[in-house]
Amino acid sequence: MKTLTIGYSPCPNDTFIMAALAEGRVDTPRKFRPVLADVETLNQWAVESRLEVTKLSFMALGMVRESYGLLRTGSALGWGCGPLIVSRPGRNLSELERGLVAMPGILTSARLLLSLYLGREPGSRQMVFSDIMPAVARGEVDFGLIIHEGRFTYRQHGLIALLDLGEWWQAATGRPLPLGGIAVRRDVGEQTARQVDEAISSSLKRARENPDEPMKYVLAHSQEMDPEVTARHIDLYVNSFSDDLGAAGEQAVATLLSRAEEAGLMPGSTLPLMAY
Amino acid sequence: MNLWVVAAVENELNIVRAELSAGFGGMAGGHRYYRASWGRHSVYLGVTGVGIVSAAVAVTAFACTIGADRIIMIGSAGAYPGSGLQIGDVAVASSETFSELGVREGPGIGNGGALGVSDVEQTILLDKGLARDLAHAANEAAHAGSGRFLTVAGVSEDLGCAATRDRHFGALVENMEGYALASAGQKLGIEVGEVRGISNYAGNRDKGAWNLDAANERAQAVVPAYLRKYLQ
Repeated sequence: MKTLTIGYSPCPNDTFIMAALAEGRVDTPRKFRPVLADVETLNQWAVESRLEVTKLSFMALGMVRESYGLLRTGSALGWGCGPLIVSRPGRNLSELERGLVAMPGILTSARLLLSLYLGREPGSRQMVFSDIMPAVARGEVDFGLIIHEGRFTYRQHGLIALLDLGEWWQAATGRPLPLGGIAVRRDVGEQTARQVDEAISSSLKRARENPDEPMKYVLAHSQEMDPEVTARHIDLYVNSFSDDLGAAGEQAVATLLSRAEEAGLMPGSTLPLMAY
Repeated sequence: MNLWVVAAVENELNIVRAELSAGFGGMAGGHRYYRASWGRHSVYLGVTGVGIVSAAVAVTAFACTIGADRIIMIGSAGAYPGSGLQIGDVAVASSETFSELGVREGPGIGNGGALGVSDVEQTILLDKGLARDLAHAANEAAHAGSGRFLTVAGVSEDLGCAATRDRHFGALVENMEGYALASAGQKLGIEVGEVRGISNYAGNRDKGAWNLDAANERAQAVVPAYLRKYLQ
C-alpha cells in the first residue's frame, strides 16, 4: 500500500494533533510520511498539488478546492483566536488603509480576513512569522498581522493591538473563525480520505487522553520555547472543532469561502467542501 | 563555540567559503578543512568525501583533532517521488536511517533489528533544537520541508529501487553521508544537523534532469541565514 505524505506545520497545535501519528503510536492501515514545513510553504505546495494530505490555511483551501477536500478532524477554528493587527504605540486604525502591513504569507486566512475587513487587498510585505514583530518594533513597516503565539507575546515587543480580526469576524457573521484545516487530495479517493481522517482523529484522541505524551514532540518543533505559552497555544487552537468540524464548523468555513468569492478574492467551485 | 559545516565535496561548500572568507585550515584524518570567524565563534568548513565510511572518518577526525560543539552537514540529495519535495527545494533532517544496515531484505534494504544485536540502531534522531533552527533558517532560503532522511551505501539505480525504498522507509530523501554524521554526533555527544538541496529524484540517473547547482546554492544559502539568526 502506498505511503501517504502528510504535511503539517511545526506550530504546537499541529504537532500536538500529529505527534502520536508521527511517532507510531496510532494503529492505522495506512503508512504515513510526515513532512513539516511552515504553513505558507504548505499553502504553496497545495496549489501545486504536491502532498496527498496537508494542513493548509482556509484561504489556500479556497484556491485549491478542485483538487483538495477538507477532513473533519484537525482543523483550527474557534472563538477569540483571531489574527491581530499590531503596531508601535501612537498609530491608529484609520492609518491601516494606506499603511504597509507585514504578514506571514499571501495564502493565509489572516490575510484573507484583513482583505475582507478592508474590502480590498492590503498593502503588504511578506515575512517569516518570527520576523514580523521585530520589524514592526523597528519601524520598518507600519503594522503587523500576527497569528498564533504572537497573540501572547506582542506586548514583549513593545507593541499594541489595534484590531482583533477574529472579534470583527464573529460580530459580522456570528460564526467561529476558520483559520486552517487538513485536506486530502481528491485523487486518493474517499475511502482513503476516511482512513486518513480516522488516523488523525486517533492521534488527537490519544494526545487528549495523555496530554503530556506529545509535549516532547511539540516542544522539539516549536519556535516558542516557553512551555506555558505553548500550552496556551494548544488550549486555544486545539478545541472541539479540531475533534470534529461539525455542522457549525463546516458552515463557518463555507461562509468564509463564499464571502471571499463574493469579494472576488478567490475562485468559486462546484465541488463539495468536504473530502467525503 | 566551534561550529563545523561539512559537505561531501568542495563544490558543496564553495559559496559558504567565499561568504565567510574562510582560509585553508589544514588536514584532519586526511580530510581538508577551512577556517573562518563569526563574531566570537570559530566556523570550520570540512570536506568529508563521498559515502558513509569517508564521512564517518572525516567527522570523527574533525571533532577529535580540532574540536566540535555543533556540526551541520550540507549538500545535495535525491527526493523520493512521493515526498512532495521538488528539485530546488530544501530538506532538513529530523532523523537519519541507514538503508542497508542489518539483514538484507531486498535490493538496498536491510533490517537492523533482525541482526539481534542490541546496540544496532538503524535510525538515529538528530538534535531536535538544531533541526528546528535549521528548518526556520531554511524557510528564508527556499521552500523547505523537514522529516526523515535515508542514508544509502549505494544510491537507487532506477525508479523501481527508489519506489521500493520509498515504500519501506517512508523517508523524504536519500543521501550518502548523513547517517555517519548522526552516529558520530550521538557517540561523541555533539549537536548535529543536516540540510540538503534537492538536486534530483531518487532513482533517476539521467543527470540531464538534475540540477546540482540549484541544490548546492539553496543548501548553502541556509548557512548564513542560520548564522545570522542563531549564532550570536
